[in-house]
Amino acid sequence: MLQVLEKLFNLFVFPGFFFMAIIGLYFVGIHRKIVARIQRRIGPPIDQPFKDFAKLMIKEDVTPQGAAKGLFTLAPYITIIGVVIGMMFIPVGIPAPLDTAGAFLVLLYLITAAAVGVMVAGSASSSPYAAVGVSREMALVIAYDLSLIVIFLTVAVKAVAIETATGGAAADLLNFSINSIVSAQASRPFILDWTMLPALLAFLMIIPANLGLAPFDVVEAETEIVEGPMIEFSGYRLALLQLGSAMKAFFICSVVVVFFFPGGIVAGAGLGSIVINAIWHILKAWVVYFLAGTLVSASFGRRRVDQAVKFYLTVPLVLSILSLGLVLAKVG
Amino acid sequence: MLGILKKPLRKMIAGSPWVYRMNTGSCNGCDVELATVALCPRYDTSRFGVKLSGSPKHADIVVITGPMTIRCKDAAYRIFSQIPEPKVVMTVGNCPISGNVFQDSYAVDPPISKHFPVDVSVAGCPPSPWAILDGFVKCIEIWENRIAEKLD
Amino acid sequence: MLTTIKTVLANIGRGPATSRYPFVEETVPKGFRGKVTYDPSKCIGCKTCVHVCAGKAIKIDEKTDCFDFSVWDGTCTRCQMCENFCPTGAIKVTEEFHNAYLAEDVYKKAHFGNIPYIQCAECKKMIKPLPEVVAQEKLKGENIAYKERSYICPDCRRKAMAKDLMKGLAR
Repeated sequence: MLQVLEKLFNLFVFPGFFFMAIIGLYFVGIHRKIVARIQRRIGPPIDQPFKDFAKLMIKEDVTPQGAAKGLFTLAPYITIIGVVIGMMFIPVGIPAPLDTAGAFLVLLYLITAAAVGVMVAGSASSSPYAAVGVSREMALVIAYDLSLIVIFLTVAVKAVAIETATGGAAADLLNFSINSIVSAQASRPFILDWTMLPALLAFLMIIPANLGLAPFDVVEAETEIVEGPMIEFSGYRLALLQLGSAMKAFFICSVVVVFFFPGGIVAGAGLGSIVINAIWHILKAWVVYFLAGTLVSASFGRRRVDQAVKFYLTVPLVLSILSLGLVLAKVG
Repeated sequence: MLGILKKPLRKMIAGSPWVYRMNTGSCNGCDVELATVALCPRYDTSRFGVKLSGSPKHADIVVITGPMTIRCKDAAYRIFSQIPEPKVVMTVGNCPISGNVFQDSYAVDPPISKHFPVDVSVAGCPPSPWAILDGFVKCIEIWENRIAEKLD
Repeated sequence: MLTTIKTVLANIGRGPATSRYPFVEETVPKGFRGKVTYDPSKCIGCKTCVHVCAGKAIKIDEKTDCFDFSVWDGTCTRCQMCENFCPTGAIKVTEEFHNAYLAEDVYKKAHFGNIPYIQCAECKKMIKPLPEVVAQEKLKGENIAYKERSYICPDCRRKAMAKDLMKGLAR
């Protein structure tokens, strides 16, 4: 019984729904403030996303007549559910609540599921602008998913290589769990290994497309397709969509942290060390978001969808295959 | 709703008015001044929480420019009905107030207050961006009052 | 790429360029055309401004013993033609730009002026007065014949001048 309660606490409060919601919204708020300062403006206050969320909850809900009712209602929840479940596999101060064999592959699916949420939202609203946004999102997801698979493969192979080198049968360790990846970096995190650096660079390049930030924010290109897939949503549905987008930001930065430089600074399982390790994790995730999200989005203009797809099918793919090759060469 | 939470909740909700711009046949002079106010760092409106939104369904403050030309009356009515309550309507420029130089034309139907309920008017042809910023501040005060009414 | 990085870092150092407007006062460039003001003591009621106003904002309403002048801010295009053509300088364009009103107040934003007529000293008809200020400026106070007869209506003035002419011719 206590186990079930503990898992429920993990799911809803820490590191589940509430924790991700608050941290994610603060990430977005800090991002907007820094982008404004780079553009020599003052910018909105840091807690602006909370105000946006509160305001959207009290607005009237205008549903278009031709929308597919069930999917229209369900769409905002898909991203949130996918991202919360994905966070269950990531250790934030405490060991990951749902870590089992094969968790690695489920993580890959959940990252894509979060993007599917936006696609379903756009398709369920009967608007041509939303349809254009959905087709652009699909093209972009297909383009960067290739590189994402190669990066995941690189990390897994590297983890297995390190574990076999320090002693241990390979067959036992090829169980694709997040724990194995974290423990493989116990002596030296992957970021300090020069063969993994191209993979890290490729992952950082994928982040803007995943989160809808410039230069690859073509999906919700405001001046072109009037906010893309989210055009017909208003009221609490839009609030949930934006909350899902903010939580996705924290989730994907946490994935980068866990794959390349996990680990707390204080050992032990007491409450104090959990808090300190969680704060350290949040800081690391924020540094990833700052470098790949904020700085990049404030400095570049928007790329067209064909330019974006061409970019994703060349540069991150080549970098991640390079990394895979280097890791395999060192193994063999 | 707990009574004690109402005031901070009201402050929080009033801190995020999103703006949607509707052009009912304007000469675009007022639209250029609006674009300047919304985007240039000198008149930064995002410090009040204002965001220029692309879709009418995301809007709280509706900004209307131009005299209502007969041709776009249908479209204007349709878009206005899709803006969710509660909302605040602001008109920019002299055309929505009286039609300005187009008063006696057969193709326009001023003033806008005949078609939509207007709350704030910014006069001028085109108004100075400082005046439009003043208009936004006034709109935000009215928006706070509407929120307070809705929360009660 | 390098210029981008340099610009980004320089911008963070330079600080915001925003002027915190409603809380600090702002000015507009010199020569900015703002609201129109009206000085009733200089108006002679010639109605040139009504004729040239682009937005039909100026109205002169002639009643039996006075005339009303009004210019409505809600239609004034700030084209400055009224100031340009006014012979006495009674109507001027200022640099006032605070134009945001609540919707029901915008109909009250007008300048009103009321200039009462004076009675002709001879035939007791109501005529528009010639303000002293205008007489000083335009006529430089030197036109003695006009000054002696500035309080009678044009018809009576014509008759008086004709009498003078006949007197002069009859010498």
